[in-house]
Amino acid sequence: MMNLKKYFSVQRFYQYLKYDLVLNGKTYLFTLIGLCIVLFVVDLFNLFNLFDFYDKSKYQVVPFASKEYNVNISFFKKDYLPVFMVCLLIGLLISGGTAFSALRNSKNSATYLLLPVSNLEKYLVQFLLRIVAFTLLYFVLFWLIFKSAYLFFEFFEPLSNTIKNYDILDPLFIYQKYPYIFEVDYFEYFMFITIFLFVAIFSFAGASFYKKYALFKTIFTFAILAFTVFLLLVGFSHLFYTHGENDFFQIKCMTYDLSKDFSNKDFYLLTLFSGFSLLLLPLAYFNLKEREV
Amino acid sequence: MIAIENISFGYTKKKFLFKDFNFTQESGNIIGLLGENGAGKSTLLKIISGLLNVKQGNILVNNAKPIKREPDFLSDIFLVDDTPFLPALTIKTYLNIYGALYKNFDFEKMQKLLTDFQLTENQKLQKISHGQQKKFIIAFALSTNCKLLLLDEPTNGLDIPSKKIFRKVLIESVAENQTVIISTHQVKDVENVIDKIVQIADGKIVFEQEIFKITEKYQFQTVSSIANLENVKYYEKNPFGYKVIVPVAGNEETEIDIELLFNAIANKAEINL
Repeated sequence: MMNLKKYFSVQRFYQYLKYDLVLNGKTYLFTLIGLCIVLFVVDLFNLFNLFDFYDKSKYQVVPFASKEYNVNISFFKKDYLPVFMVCLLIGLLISGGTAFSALRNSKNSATYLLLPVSNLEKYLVQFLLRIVAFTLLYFVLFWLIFKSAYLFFEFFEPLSNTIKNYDILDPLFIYQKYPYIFEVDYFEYFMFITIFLFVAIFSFAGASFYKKYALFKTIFTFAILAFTVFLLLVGFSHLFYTHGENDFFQIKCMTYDLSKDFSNKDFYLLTLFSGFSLLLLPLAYFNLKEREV
Repeated sequence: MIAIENISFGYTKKKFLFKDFNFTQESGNIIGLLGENGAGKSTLLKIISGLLNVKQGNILVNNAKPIKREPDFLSDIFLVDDTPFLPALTIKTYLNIYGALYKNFDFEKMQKLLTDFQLTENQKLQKISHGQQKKFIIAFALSTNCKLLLLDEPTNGLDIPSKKIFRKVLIESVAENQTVIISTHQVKDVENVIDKIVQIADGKIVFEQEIFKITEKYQFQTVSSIANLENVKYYEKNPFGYKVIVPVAGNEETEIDIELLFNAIANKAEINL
């Protein structure tokens, strides 16, 4: 019978998780404090900036929503969500890209690789802390920080009845929560989740592959990959369509709806990102497994 | 047990450090892995511990392939590097979180070794001297009760009293079924500790023998003149005359002078056993 304990043991996993948390606890704590400060500043800047330059023409739904449902949904969606998403995306990139920090130099690498836990456990602990725990903590922190920033903001710019009705998980369930305000676009919903997962897993895989300056090299690799895919599509476009002198880098393609709100382009993008993510997850594991000093 | 068969390894594709290298060791020895700088000692220890992969050949250490780095295998080996990584923790915290990962870790033995090395649990690992860090990691390695202990230049950074304690502790702490490989170019430091010598040069084993077999056949003497000596295998001048290696005459065994033997082998003297 296959000895599964050489791959995973709950007790060993727990001991190793404890080891990692004690060893890097201060680093994690200071990083979270840094994140809170950055989020607070960004939120405040966002609140003050958008309040001053409110483009009312884009927010025609406001009076209706405010009056009928006692919430200012437009402010919620337009201001809270973009900041939430951009910061989460950058956060995941940094958190994933700085995973396997022990592999950055050979002295730490040797100790890390020789720890008597399995490669799978090392991998899972990093994934759990850097991606899963970070995302969950981010939801709570962002909510707390935004509320704090809003309290601060309200002190200077009293704005009644604005951010009253949002909860921690609203960024995930906003469409379902307010279907009468937002058009439920499930593709957009899944696309965001897929892109976020892709960014997290891509940076995570980069961290397991590169030795020094892993984050920078991962971003650089992504830029090269994205440019290659772009060139490939430009090539296909030239192959199947005629291009004028001024649209050399334009990508032309036939678009058709596969279903309501879901076109072949959407399908292509979703497949590309989720496919890459699925490929990169085991790749990160094998990078760690094959790692040498 | 270590069984290395016909391995080839090089840091670059063009130059091999080891070519068709063979190395077999049974359990229960303290082996001195000797060699000049760059001979491949540290690389060999890294290969044995699974930190480096070889393109050709077979390696089995404690009946496992090191490069797979399976938990049971890793729990039964410990590599003490020349510059070990020690985090900014107290000794007590380090022992609690790191020792718990080793299935046979002996906390009582660790306490005793800390006392022997004059270290206390409240000391912070990054605030103590390099020599103290070295002593701590050696104590930790011995407390893991691993089957294979790999010590890479363990006496580097240790002062003279500490080297003495290191030798004493090593002899007292190593169990019969444990194998210890001490890689060093400071051969004098491991005298009276090791029971086997393996000397490598240019990626090859140039000498391998148990100490008692060497002292059975050769004497290590200091003489004022070598003019009247016959069959001198190797000699070196020193302030008192000459240090020589000569075949044993009768039953008179002498203590081994590892430094002299090391130099003799390095200078390709004819030491046949």
